[in-house]
Amino acid sequence: MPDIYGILNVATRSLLTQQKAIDVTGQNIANVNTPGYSRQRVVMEPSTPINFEPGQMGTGVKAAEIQRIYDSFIGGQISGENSKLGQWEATESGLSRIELIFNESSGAGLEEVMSQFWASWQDLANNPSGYPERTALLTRGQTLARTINTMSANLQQIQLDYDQSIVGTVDEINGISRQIVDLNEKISQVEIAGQNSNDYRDQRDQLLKELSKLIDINTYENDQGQVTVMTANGNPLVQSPYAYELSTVTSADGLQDVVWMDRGGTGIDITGSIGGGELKGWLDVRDGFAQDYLDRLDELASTIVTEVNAIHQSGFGMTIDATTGDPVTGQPFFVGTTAATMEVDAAIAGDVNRIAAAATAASVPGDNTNAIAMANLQGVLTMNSASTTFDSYYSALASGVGSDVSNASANAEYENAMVSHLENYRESVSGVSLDEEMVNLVKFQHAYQAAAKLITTVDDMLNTVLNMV
Amino acid sequence: MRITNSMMTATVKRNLFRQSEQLARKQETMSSGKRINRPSDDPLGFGKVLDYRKTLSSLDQYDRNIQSAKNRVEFLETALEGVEELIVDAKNWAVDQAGSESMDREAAITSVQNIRDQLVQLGNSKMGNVYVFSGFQSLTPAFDATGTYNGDNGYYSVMTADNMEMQVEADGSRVFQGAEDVFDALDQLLVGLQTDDVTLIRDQVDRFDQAKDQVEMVRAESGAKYEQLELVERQTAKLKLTFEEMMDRTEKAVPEETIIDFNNQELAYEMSLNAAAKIIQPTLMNFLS
Repeated sequence: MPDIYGILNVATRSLLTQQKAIDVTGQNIANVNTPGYSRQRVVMEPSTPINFEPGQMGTGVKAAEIQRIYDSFIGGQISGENSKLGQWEATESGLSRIELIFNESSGAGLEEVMSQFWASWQDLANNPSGYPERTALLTRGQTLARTINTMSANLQQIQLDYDQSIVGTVDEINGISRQIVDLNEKISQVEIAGQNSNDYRDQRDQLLKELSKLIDINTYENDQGQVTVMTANGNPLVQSPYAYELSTVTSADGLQDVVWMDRGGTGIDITGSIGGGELKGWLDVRDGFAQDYLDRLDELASTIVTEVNAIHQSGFGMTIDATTGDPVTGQPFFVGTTAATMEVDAAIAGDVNRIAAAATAASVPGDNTNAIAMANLQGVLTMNSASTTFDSYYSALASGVGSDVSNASANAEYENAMVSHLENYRESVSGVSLDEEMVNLVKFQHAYQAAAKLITTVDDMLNTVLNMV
Repeated sequence: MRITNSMMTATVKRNLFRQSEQLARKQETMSSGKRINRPSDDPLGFGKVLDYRKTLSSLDQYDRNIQSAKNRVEFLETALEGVEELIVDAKNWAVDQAGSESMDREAAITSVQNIRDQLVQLGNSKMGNVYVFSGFQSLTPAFDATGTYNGDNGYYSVMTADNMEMQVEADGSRVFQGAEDVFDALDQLLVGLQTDDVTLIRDQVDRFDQAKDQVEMVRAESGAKYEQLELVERQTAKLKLTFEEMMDRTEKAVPEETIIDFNNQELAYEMSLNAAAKIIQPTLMNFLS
């Protein structure tokens, strides 16, 4: 029965509802800088009316629910692009480090060291019996070997560093999976009770976004609001109430492979099927790019060793062989078969007169034919099944590294733009605008003041009634 | 579109990062003077720069080789000139002493003896630690006191370009003991002088002429070699210039362009900063009383 006290009820409901709205506005303002936060609003609706003469009379307002403003499709899209962004950013950062190894834009790299090595043979040819020329040649040979050794060691170091990153990333993924399982529980508990789990959902979305930057994921939500997360080969990471772990095992080459652990604790190797995220980027750098450059460096080193030795062993040095009484021959210049193991033969390092400048035993010491043959090796097509010189092979390798880096940068930049674009769209829907909140604040404050005024009015009315007595 | 505060700040941040990154790039180009500072700046160009640099360092080395060969030829020429003079001296003594009357034989014998000694000495000329007339046996004196040749018919070979070699004479037997053995002629002359054998003395005159021709032939060859070396030297220098220019064109930044680019970029950066300062500051709160 609407009477004078009914008006007080309307005023009270109004006060409480506007207060809730101000509360939520406060929550929005407080979270203006919170990543992943979606703005919320109080959905107000008129409370149940009463049948009365001459018609239905309203009973004021009520807060029906607190809603979060959200586009349910944007999340999946952001996850997808974020995986690619993570992958290319990881690849780019790895390759940029590798690029430093090959950067000789200011000289003093392998190219220069190789040139100096061949030039030393020409210096020797100019004075085949000269001790200084021989010593210089030894030094240049050692520098060449050491430069290649260092490049190989640096590449391997990068592989090991990213191996560590992979182990760290796997730990991070497991941590996030567990948090998602926790949030799944909380969300379903809240929502079974018929309420919106706004803040937990925001937190979970944010975690899914972080997870997608680490590894490629597919997600779907069941009717209890719990999300299932699947990764490479459809193996689940989260399937409430369980979180499945990823782990690493040391493979034959001493590096870590990524495995997915099933409920029974059996690991399944998914290294090759990871399709995105930082994990994919690190794996690509470690097993793809760095390994490829290492292989090519090994090929270069082993061919230099073989070719130089073939010529050197056919020549004759100045030292007299104690057993034959003739000048030494058959002496290798380099030993080793890979970039890591290549070095100048110890016998040569101990006696530079074993360096073979002459082509025949009889023509020692004035003959420089062998030294010239060696110097000419620089221009011989020795690499890539006799189609490329040492120098071109190396400059192709270095410029290949350059194009890999610039390709990765371009991809990272593109994905960055994509993700920014999508983030912007998400922000446009869900983000907090302070201006808007200020307007709302003023709006709700006015409503609150008006409701208070209503109570004062009812108070006056009651006084009037009482004074009538 | 609904625009929120974090959209604005994110956009401002993104733009500032991009502008300052580009500014840093331009700065790098300006301070290094190079367009290519790392392989990824221009992968193809970087490969080319490496090739040019290799070629340039080869050309430098060829130039060093050519200088060393020129020194050797100059040295050879000096020695051969001395040899020729001595042979002419010997011939003059022979002509002088070929008259029927024996005159001043003692002085002649001493002089011819000296000439022979000096010739052996010239034959054993050393450039640094190398005997230039010993062929490949460069650490062995070419002639012993008896005039026996201890070298071989090796030569001195020098790389003047890719797969190009030039050979410089180092065979002392060809100079001193080719068609005509100059030491033998001197020995015969001495015998003639000592035994007063005028016929024998006279016979040597022609042999000295021949020996002189023989030396002159080698000198002519060396002269031609020297000219050839100078020609290759000039070609190398020209090639070097060409490659330096090609390298500069690939690698170097054009200063005017760099400065204009840098200024443009600086302006763009300042404008973003300016815009950011204007956009971020005000909110509705500034206007609510």
